[in-house]
Amino acid sequence: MRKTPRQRPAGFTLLELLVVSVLMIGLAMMTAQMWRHFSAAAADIAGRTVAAQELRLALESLSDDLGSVVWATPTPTYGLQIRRKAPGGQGNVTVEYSLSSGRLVRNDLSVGVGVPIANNVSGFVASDVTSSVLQITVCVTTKNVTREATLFWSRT
Amino acid sequence: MQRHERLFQPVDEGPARRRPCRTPARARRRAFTLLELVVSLAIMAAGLLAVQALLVRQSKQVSRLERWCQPHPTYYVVSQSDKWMRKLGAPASLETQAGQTAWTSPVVSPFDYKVTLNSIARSADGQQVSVRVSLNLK
Repeated sequence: MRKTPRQRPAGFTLLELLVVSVLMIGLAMMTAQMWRHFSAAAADIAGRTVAAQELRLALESLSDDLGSVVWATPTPTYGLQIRRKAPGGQGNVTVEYSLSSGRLVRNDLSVGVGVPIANNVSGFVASDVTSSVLQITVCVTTKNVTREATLFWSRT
Repeated sequence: MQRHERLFQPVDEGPARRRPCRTPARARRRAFTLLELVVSLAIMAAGLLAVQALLVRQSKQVSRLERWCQPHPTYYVVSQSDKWMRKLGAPASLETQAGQTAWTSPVVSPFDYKVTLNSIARSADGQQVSVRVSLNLK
């Protein structure tokens, strides 16, 4: 029995399949490129946010100690030693900031306990610019993003 | 002559070899309907709008972040000059320009008080300080 054209099963021709395949491949390539762009931008934003957050933590701790400072001096290992009034107002305490394995550590010498203040710190340098001006540089590096802040503190 | 006529005799190809005539039902099967096109266009438009909204939001976020995070800011640390602020452990102010002074108390009292510090409590985030003091006239 012969099949009439009406009875032939409906399907796509080779040309239609080729066109659809080319279009789908093009769309997939565009989507992949867009996704790569978005993921790179998201990673960049995440790195910048983390760097800014760590830098802010370090600056807040430093400003907290320098608010009621008695004296501050750089240490031989480029750290910073701060003599400040005790939080309760009774006497003075000495704290020391130093860089230890990528962390900025605040060490209360009266208690003898070091507390990490900020992570991903790639540089912490305290140095005397003049006899009365102290310069502190904090550098944070996360995911190819580097943020650096410089503090100037006058002893007068 | 008979052979000649047989050679040029029109050949009946039969129903299978004939060019099929297009019926309306077959034409409807091969093409997309208007509803299908509208639905697909609506889906594509929604996808494009979502991608565009994502792009706009991301560019705004990046520009805001760039404004917020200067690559290399310089701060001038000004310690507290007021003795009570120093006793309370107030943090130093970080100024972006040199030569600015820290906060000083604007209150000038004609009376001489004896101030006794009773208690100090700082919040966990360090943003608030609660102090209980008692004032006695000298």
